[in-house]
Amino acid sequence: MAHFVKGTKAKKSTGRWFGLGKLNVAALNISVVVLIVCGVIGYVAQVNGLATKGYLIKDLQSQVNQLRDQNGQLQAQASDLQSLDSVKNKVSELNMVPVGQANYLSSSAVAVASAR
Amino acid sequence: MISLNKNNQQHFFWEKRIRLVSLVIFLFGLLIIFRLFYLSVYQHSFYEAIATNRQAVNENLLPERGSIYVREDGKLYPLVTNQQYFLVYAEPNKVESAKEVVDKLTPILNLSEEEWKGLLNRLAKKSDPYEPIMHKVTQNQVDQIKKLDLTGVGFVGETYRYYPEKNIGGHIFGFVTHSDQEVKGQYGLEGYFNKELSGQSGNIKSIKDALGALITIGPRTVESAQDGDNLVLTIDRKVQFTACEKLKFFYDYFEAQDASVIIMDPKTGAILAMCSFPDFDPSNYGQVDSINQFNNPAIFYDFEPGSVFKAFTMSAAIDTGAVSPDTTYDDTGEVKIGPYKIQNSDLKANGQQTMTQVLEKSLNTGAIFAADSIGKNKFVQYVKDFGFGQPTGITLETEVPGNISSLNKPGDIYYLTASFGQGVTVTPLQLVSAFGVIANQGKLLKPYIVSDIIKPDGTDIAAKPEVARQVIKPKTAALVTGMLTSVIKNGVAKKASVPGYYLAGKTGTAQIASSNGGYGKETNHTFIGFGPVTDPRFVILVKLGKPQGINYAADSVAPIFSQLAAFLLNYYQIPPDY
Repeated sequence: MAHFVKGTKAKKSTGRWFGLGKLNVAALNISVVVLIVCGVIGYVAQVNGLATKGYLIKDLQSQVNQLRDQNGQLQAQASDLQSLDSVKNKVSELNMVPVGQANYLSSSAVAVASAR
Repeated sequence: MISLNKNNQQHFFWEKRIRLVSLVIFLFGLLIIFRLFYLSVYQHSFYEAIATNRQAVNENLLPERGSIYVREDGKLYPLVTNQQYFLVYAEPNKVESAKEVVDKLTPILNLSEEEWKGLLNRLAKKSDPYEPIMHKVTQNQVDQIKKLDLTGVGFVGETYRYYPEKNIGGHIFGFVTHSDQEVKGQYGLEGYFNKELSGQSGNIKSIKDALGALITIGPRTVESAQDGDNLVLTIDRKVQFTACEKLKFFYDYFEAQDASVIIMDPKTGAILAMCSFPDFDPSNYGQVDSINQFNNPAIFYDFEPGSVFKAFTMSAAIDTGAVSPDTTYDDTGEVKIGPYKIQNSDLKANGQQTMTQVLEKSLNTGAIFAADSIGKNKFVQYVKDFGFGQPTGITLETEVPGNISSLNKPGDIYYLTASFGQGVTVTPLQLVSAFGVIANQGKLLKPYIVSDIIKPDGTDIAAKPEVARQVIKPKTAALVTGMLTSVIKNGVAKKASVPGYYLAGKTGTAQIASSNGGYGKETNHTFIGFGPVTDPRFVILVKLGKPQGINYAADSVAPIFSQLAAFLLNYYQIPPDY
């Protein structure tokens, strides 16, 4: 029994590891676990954030499409109002008359002399 | 010692149980691992297919079809563009009361009684998952339907062609058909430039969530759609509108079978206006009496041009030096060519006449004299050089070359008959293009209607005027211009004149070949002219097919030319010549 007990007694750590100083294995393990947990949380947060942004982008894209459609509708209305058919229909409302014969003035110099 | 042995025995007893439980758990775990391996490795492709089917997105990205514009004062005005409409559909299996839905939709969608009945029957089928109700529904109508909050009624966006300018002619544009998700241009510019206007579809491959939205962090392959090119036309919107309006009036007034007007810039070949009747509405292309209405008469329907052709005969004769404007001949009223006798249209013998008088009085005998003076071979060469017998190459669908094959037949009768425009067929566009030779110092220009092609990235590819060839000498062109001016001033075409301006032109009253052989009593009336002769800004062709109640082009189409010329002279602010 004593031998067994002796045999099972764990060796004490020498406390030295490659000359760097005393290193607590347990502390190292805890640090690694903490880092992993932080990493996982960070990853999940990032993915979640991306997914949220994705929905935001989708909403914004939907707004852009709506605005684009509205813009198209307004442009079509503007084109309608600018159409010659529309202008012609409004001619009488605007009291416009057809262009008559234009008179043209010559810009060439004409020599004149005073009559006596 | 004894208690120690008893403890050891108990310890070993529990150790065995624990080992047994561990073994069971281990085996269970092994089973799970094997099952996992089976599902995710062995049956990987099967489950991947199911997942892909549910999650994968593989859709085409549809490009926007290019628009067609005209340029005015540096701005682009759309003549053909795209507009968002909606397809209203129903899911009959979700509709609570079909009659209520149909009754509420009827006033908004303007359903007829027959449509009301048909829709009611379709929406009454409770097992039916989908029924389209109406295409091309406006935003305004959709907003009204949304207010009704009808269960089982939905909307899908659709894009259709939209034409802001009405009554401006459908033949130039053509139209667009929608079938099996394919959008295709037919006839006119839509047909000719279908590939450029269509653009290129793109593609997106990604994965979607349960709501159908794309997963941002998922894999994504996007090939962007490339929108279609935009076209800018040489057409002047106001000139086109005026030309179509005036032509429509006379087309109806004379009850003509068909009518065409073409206005071209003789210095560049740019088409300023092109209008024909019977016309069609491109946004309702299904509402035509005959599919033939889709063909543009200006480029598709060739006809015997009649006396307008004398201008080209005279140009050829003067250009070769065979005759001059003052060359005389003795007009006996008729010419015998073998067994055939050809007479003047007025059946008169006019005595000694000059070449100028041949055009002024439109004498068939004079045209024969001029053609005979240069001979068949030279005459045929000039006819070809003027562009007849071949397409002009304008970028519109369904242009025909006309038919001058009779000139290849042996004997003199065919080419001498052709000298006054009978026995050969030409299109209105060929005629106006050929007349442009006389207005443009003898140069034949290729007519064109698209001035710019604007790529989606903004690159502007501008068309340049193309000189096909020098047909006649500039001096010949000047002489013939003078003769044609006399036609309007002193000849049969006085009704084509505009006070204060020198305009050149020629009438043509052409007999129409009868199906029984020979010629019937019906005629085609044509007038082609240009002005002002000192610096031509326009060439105008007006044609009426089989006008009723009027005999001569001098009385039917010449006044239309005068009105259009007067408009253009005012529009371009061209001061009078005298």
